Amino acid sequence: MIIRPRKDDHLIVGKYIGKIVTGIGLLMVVPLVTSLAFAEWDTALDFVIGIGACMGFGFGLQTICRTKKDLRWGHGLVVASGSWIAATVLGALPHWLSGHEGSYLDAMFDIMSGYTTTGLYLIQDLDHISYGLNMWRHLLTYAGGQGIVVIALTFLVKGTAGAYKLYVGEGKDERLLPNVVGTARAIWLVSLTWLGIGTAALAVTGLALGQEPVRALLHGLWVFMGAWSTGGFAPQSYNTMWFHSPVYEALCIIIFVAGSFNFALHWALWQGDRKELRRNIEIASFTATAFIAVSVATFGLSHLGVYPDAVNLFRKAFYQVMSGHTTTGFSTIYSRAFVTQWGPIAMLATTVAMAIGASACSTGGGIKGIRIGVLTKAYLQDVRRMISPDSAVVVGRYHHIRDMMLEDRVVRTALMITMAYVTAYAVLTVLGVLLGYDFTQAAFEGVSAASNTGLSCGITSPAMPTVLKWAYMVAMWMGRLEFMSVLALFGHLYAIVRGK
Amino acid sequence: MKVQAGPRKACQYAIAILVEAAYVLVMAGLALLVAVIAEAILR
Amino acid sequence: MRRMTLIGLLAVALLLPSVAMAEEHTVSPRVPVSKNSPSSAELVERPDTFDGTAVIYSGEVIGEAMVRGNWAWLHINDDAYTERNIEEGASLGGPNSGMPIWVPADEAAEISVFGDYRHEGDIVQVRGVFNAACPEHGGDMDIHAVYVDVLRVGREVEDPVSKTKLTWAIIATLAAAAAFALDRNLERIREWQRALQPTR
Repeated sequence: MIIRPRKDDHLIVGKYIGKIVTGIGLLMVVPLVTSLAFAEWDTALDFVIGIGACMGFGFGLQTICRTKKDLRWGHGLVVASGSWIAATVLGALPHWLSGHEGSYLDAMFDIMSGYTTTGLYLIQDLDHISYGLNMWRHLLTYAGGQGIVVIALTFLVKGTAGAYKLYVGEGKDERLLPNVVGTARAIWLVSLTWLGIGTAALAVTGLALGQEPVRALLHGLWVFMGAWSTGGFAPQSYNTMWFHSPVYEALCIIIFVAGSFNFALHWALWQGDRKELRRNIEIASFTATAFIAVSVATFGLSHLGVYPDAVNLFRKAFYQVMSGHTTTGFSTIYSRAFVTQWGPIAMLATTVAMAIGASACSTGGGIKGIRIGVLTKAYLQDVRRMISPDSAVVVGRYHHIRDMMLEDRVVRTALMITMAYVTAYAVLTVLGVLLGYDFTQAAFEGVSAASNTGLSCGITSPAMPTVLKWAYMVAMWMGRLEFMSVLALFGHLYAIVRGK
Repeated sequence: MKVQAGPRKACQYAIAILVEAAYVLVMAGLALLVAVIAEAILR
Repeated sequence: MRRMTLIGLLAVALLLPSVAMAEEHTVSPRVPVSKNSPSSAELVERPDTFDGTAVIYSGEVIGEAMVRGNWAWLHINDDAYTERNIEEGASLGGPNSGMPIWVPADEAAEISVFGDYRHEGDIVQVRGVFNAACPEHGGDMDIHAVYVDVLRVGREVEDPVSKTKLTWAIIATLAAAAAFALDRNLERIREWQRALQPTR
């Protein structure tokens, strides 16, 4: 029997969604200050309206939904997925008001792409947008990388037992520290330290590459935010091709690979456990699949003779495929060059890399290394079982922060979520083909959206069919929250209608 | 275990970041090797 | 089971019309081939056709000139926004499109205005050789130019403060302040209400 949610349930969900939307309003203060600092008055108004709308909605909801009850599991999931919708609808205001979006849908597409650290965009004339708006684009992708719920946990929600359920709802499940608010703070410590060092390194490099100091600093900050959150937004339409520099590219790769690491792995390393890097199942899985994908792409490109020599070939293949595998979406080639230069082999290698994606509990998306690792081990375990005598007990183990048993329960969960991703990839690919796109391109773009990567081969544009915009948006949202929260939200809505 | 600050911790964090960067460079080295081999075989 | 079938049929029914729309949404645009003055879209779409050939290319200089020794990087856009910005009321014309240009630093020094939020950049014409995958620059697609002719000097762009926006900003701020005050003082307000209600 399905139980219809009671008034209390609605109050709890409303209250926390209100808090999180308030957090988005607070976040908009940063771009507001930026646009004021650069005397961009009209842009500043966009953010004042945005902040007003978020605060009005957030506090309004908190006023209506008064309750002292703590969150239950179902609530946490519904709040996480619901607040992402509310945050997208309201967060799109400054984009839309800027006049650079074809429709409110396009604006919401960009915001969802930002929060989910995807990186596809529909904004038009990116090369002429204000500093304030660029700050907002990158800040929201940086915030989305840590998780907008994590932000709310850090600043707005007092550490209750229910807070952990919110955190899990956003697709993160590692406890770095026993207390969830402590965990959120640890995530921030790692992210902000990297922010400082990464921005400084990129800004100094930018300066050496011939940028003005202010532009070098802003570009450094924004490229860092795009890289660390594995987001893929960049301040110019040329993406990271703008810089034409191997050093800048190397820094980008280091930052986005680090951003794709599990926060629990970061934390282990930061506590001095350096062996973890060698033993961790996700690193083993990532290293293996990334090596294979880069190799296939390299051979494919070499076969076509696209690039003049081995060094150039390495620079392009490694950057693009690693960007895809970490689900970042930075590129140093034109989107259309995937089709007109790279060809099907290298495109498929990149597609598979994007599908597998980064680490769990990171800023990245995709199926995730831990699931690929666990499933591979499960297959090997079954093979071992087949060749062992009937009486033998075959036990599998894997290492992630500590040694763990390969239980059927773990394998089942990994397989379920993997299947959900594969289904999403397939649905988007089929939809793309139905709409008349070439199969390789439809698969590339569809996987890119559902795995929150953001590499594009040219399908994503303001002129694309509306149905595909919606499909990509929903896929980004579902993929980022790892399906469970979104399914919980659908279940919740179903229960409201059909429950007793 | 709590989030801690201090020069010792800062040093530890810096080493951790360098280790993470070193991992990427090792991967890059391998990829360069693959590129050289690919060009040698296919051209 | 029957319901599942129904849902399946509905899904198919929804998907079918999309097939009808199929033709018009093919990505590869029909970019016309022009002999030696291709657009950036043409260059990206047909890199092999133009690789190694001399081309004339023009557009708006964007962002900055990044000087590297005796040479410099320019980025020149030939999209819908070279004449006017959206801030000045230009209609939306799709995403940006442009090409990186490698020019002698003294040629780059002639450019005075670079396109950004506040500026429409200089419109320039460059002559040079197009590289589909430049061996000198890490395989980037670029044009190595020798000359840069400034066709028209850029200018500042006004983004006037919209009155409508100002009104909405005030309304939104007041609404937010009211919601905040209400949220903070709800308990007190309820107490007052109770106190004001006549006791029976």
